[in-house]
Amino acid sequence: MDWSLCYPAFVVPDTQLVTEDHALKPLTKPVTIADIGCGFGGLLVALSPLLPDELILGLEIRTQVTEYVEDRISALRSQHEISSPGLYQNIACLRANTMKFLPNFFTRGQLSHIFLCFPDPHFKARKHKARIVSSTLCAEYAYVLKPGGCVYTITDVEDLGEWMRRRFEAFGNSGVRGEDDGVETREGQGKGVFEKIELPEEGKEGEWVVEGGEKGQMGMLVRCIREETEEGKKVSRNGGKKFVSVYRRRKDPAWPDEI
Amino acid sequence: MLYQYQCLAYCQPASQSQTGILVGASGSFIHTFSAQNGRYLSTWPSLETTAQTRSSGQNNGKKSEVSNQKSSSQDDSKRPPKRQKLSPATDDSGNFSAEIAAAGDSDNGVSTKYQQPSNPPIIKLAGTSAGQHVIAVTGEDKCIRVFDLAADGILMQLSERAMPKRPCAITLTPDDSTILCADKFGDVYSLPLAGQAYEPEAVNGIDANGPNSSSDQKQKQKPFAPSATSLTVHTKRNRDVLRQQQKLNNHRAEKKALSFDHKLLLGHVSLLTDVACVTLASPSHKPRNYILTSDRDEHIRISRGVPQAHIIEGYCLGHTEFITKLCVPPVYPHLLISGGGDNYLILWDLFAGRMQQQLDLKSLVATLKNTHLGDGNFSDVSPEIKTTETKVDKTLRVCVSNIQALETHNEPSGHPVIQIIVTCEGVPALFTFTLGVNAQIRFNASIHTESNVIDLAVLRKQSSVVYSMDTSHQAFSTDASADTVKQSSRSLVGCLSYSSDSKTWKENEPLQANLVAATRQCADSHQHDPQAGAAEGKSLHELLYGLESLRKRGSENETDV
Ligand SMILES: C[S@@+](CC[C@H](N)C(=O)[O-])C[C@H]1O[C@@H](n2cnc3c(N)ncnc32)[C@H](O)[C@@H]1O
Repeated sequence: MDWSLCYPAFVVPDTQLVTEDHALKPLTKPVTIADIGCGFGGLLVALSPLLPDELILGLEIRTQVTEYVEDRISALRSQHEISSPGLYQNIACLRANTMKFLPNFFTRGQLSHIFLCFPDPHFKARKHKARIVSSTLCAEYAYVLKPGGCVYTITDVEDLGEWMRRRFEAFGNSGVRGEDDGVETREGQGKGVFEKIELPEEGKEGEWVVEGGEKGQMGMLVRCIREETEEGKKVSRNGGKKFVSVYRRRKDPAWPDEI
Repeated sequence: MLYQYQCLAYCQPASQSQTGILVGASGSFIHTFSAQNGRYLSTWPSLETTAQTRSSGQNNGKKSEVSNQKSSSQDDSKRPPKRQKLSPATDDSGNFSAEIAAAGDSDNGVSTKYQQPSNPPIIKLAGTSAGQHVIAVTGEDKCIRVFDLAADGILMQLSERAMPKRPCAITLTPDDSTILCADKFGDVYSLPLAGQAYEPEAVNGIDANGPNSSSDQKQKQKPFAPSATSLTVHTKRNRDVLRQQQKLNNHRAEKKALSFDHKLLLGHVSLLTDVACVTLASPSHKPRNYILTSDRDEHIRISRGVPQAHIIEGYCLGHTEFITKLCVPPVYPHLLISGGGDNYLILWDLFAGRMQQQLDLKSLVATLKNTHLGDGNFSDVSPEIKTTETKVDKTLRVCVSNIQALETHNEPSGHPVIQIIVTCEGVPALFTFTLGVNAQIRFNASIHTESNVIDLAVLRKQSSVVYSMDTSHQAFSTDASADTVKQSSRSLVGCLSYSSDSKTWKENEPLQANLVAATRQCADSHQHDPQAGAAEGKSLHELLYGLESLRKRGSENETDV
């Protein structure tokens, strides 16, 4: 994975001198935020100036959409090259099937935020594994998220929101069902891996933002996914409802030998 | 007709006085042989079991504990069981196997003369480390069967559990208590070795699925009310969702619960190809269990062992094609050797989570193939072939079919040395390597075999390997038939022993001679049985050479990475 192509402004200075073709140029910092199924990149563009110290990566499966986002970012970068050179240097987009290849992009505990905004619902019964939230994928989201890191979800289909909630809450929690077909007993112990967070109501995010700190950031991010995603704008235009949930990843439980 | 052994396994009873048993699956039959002298011991299903099954119509509970055909005298035990006439089943209780048997009876009067295997071909075999149980997987009915393996090689079926998806690999937890089953859908389930399917009455009751099932029932009974309305749904995609929701709901109601204890441990969004359990010791804590899983999309995952298998500890990333086989060598459990559809065998350090070494297999196969095609006629095991620079055919595709490890001797330093044996689909050879304490694999030799090698079992106690071969296809080909005369003269199995003195593999002559004779007799005994093996043509090919089909075609690749 050559990250220097995504974030040229964040390449460790010394390595810029290395001329070998395949020398992987390290970045000064790792990517910490992922927008999964980023679509046309509205959220990336909105987040860039709000989180200037974070590297943010959009992952999108459609080649053409990915190319569009890449062009959009480089256009924004050159527009601001003179006025504010750092702007939009911290966002990038790559083509990937995140359902299969998430661990090829991020290592354990690398991310502090994952966004799953208006995911495709894929309700074909035989293809239920094509959904972007399943117990299988919860395991991978937990792997790439650091303890305390959050998954932000938003959808306009209430049932899909419920469905995601059941998966996140049941994951790693032996006491709760919520499985794909409702009949599995799943691996896990006591508390689940994810904890659902209470959120500000729509339009009240500002009250959180003024409080600052972690809560302030969460209020800001929730407002962003409601208002800045392409799908979110579309739903607003149509007067539809948006269902937001945020899940915080707990620390891994102690190994059985440590208890 | 299938006579070859698509699966082999070795069972070594814990007591040192008992000899090990070699278990081989040929079509839907399982044969057992003494690992000491290669003598034939027994066949499953035996006549009485099948008769019992059909008349009782119940093969998955205590009722299947019937006595098997015993071979009493030594002389008898060399010979496979005779085929006997069997009257058609009269009792059709609706049991799966009974139905098949009954269907066969009405279809074809002739076949009732013979014992009919009511089971599809076996696709996986495993033995417990205590050597007292054998686990067999049949693909078409997705069944996992557990057998008791007696000291005299007789198999008695204890249970039969049908999984929701086709199992692709099975293994046991280190304590032998639990079977892990990795399936085509990407899920790993655990089921107790000693578990049984519930009695049918219990299945219909609400408690069949454990303490929480009643809440599921309630949930299912809740009438379906789509939450999305015309107000919230505006895009075409979301209107589709509404329709799909309705369908999904119907699907849910139809889905049946599994009627036995099981747990979903973990999942990949990919077909799983292998699963392994490892116990890693460390000076700072008690030994910890891990589960390793490999998939069709280049990934090897390291998860915690039960009961924390939902926690991913890491990945081994580096293969560029589907992975087919994981091998954790004894003595060095922190190392992992993997292979698949790319050209490499990879050695991983699980502790450090990194690739340790990459070995080129393609050039080994190419060298062997060039030599083979060069001399035109070859017959027996040819002497070792030295690796020299060879032209590598661009179209040559290599697919690892098995990797086995055997602890043989100690280095002068006292550190154990492991022999690694690798086979590739459609290749008549065993590739041998040595793994030492320096955590490096060294190529040892390519051992040319008479026919393509299918499966491989390590006989720990004898420092030997037994391999099964495909007598019906030409060497180096997975589709060209060998001529019939040659077919019957070729051996179904071979056996090599490692000599710690000469540091080479040599034919284990007496064992090989006996095994070859015994397996030929088994094949002969099936020859007059039209149902034997039950695999020909496409299904035979799939059974012997199913791995290459995991390779993705161009269009599939596009939607990935
Ligand atoms: C409805 S759009 C939402 C786009 C954006 N998040 C928004 O809110 O405007 C869902 C996006 O997820 C992408 N997607 C679906 N499955 C994916 C996968 N497995 N990996 C990466 N992207 C995926 C689709 O191509 C599509 O662009």
